Amino acid sequence: MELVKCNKLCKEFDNKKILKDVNLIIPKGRIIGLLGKNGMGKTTLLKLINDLLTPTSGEVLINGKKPNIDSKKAISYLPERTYLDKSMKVSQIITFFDEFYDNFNKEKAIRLLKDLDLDINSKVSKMSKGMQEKLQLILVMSREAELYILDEPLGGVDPATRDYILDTILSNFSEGASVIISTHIISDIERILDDVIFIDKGEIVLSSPADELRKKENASIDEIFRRCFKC
Amino acid sequence: MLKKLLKYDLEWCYKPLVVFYILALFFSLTVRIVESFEQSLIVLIIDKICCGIVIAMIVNILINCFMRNWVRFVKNIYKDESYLTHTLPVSRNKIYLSKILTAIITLLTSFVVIIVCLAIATLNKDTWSFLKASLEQSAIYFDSSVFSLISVMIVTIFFEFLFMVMSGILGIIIGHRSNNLKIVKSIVIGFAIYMILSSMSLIALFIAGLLNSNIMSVFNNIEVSSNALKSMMLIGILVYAVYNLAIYFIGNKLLNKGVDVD
Repeated sequence: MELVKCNKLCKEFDNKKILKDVNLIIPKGRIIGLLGKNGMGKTTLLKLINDLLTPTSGEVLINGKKPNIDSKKAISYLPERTYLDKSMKVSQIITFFDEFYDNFNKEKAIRLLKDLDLDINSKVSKMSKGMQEKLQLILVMSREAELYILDEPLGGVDPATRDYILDTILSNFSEGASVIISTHIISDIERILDDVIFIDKGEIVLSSPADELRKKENASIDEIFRRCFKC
Repeated sequence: MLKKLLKYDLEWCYKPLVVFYILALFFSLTVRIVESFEQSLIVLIIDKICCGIVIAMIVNILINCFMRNWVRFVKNIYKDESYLTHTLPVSRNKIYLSKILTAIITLLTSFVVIIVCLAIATLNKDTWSFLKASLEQSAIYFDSSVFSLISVMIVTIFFEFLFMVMSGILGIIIGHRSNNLKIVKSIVIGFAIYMILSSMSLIALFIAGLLNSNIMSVFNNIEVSSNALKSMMLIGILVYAVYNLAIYFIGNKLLNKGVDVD
């Protein structure tokens, strides 16, 4: 059965259509790149899947059901912005996640913190934006979820750290789980993608397995993306 | 899960409140100590300054109690932190209930601290006997015990303050259903809810007055009977209880329809 299914999903803000009749299926066990230029509806789609926005019409089904407590247990979401309470310490946040998520692996989180040189006793407000993003990634990847949704995980990260982050993602997601990575920095993530979805002006313009697309177009995903979204 | 949510909500709201509680209690005690000294100009000046600080702290406690609850609600439900709140495996009912319980608990403790501060700062042999005599007289006038008189007064004031907080929360929920000027709309709608429902409670009192001439005397005369005042307070408690419950259920229903986080 499909993990996520969007049926004729629409989202409007002030009569402006941000997403237009999106039909989408996310199967289990795939790494999917949600690719598109800025402001094309990537984040809106991910927010709808996470029940952070209410659809104007259409529906999102997670494991066949509308978003509910079970779907929130199943999805581990990394938003594009920092959502942590700045007044808390890293150790308090780890405890917070441990208390609320049954599938949170505290030991794994502490290990990853050490790997990324993050001090467990430091306050979130004292950390740089990049450090906060790393902390969030650790929290998200320390859950044993069915679906990981990562919105611009490489956005504020220097190129040297990008590979490390991608490796962290690859080596830490649960077996059989799916990963959706939304980004416009394609060259860095191309190597890890099983499927790609191109989104433009709120519409899915292309959905295909990455290898098939490369063969068909005889080009890298990055090149195809540049061709497709040429200004 | 409700317990866990409540723990984090209370912790966040109490962080600055506790500081104001301690300061208010400290200055109340200072007033008490200073007043026990022999009278002199410098003692009088220190006494007045400390009294002023106590009053400022009491106002601060109330404003902070209101603001912390509203700010927490906006941050957790609609701003950056909402990305975490709404992806927790907890129902929206529980998230909302936790915020309301936090408002009730913080308001209650603030009330207790304010009463204790006032008692420490002002109660001495003379004021106590004056207060006791006044309360006993009022109790006779109201044909009730001193305890029930104080209880009714405190409950009425508490419900009125809770009604203010709840109006603000409903204002935030309705204001954030639109896409523009969310905060401005939240403030305007919250204030409008408070004013409209307060006017409605006056209308309800007037309607009750049509059926009971005692209550109508509140609108006709300056001097009113004890029965009229008693009925007015009881109607006040009943009306505010209904308003608070209604606001709670409306807010819950609106939140369950879905949110659009920023």
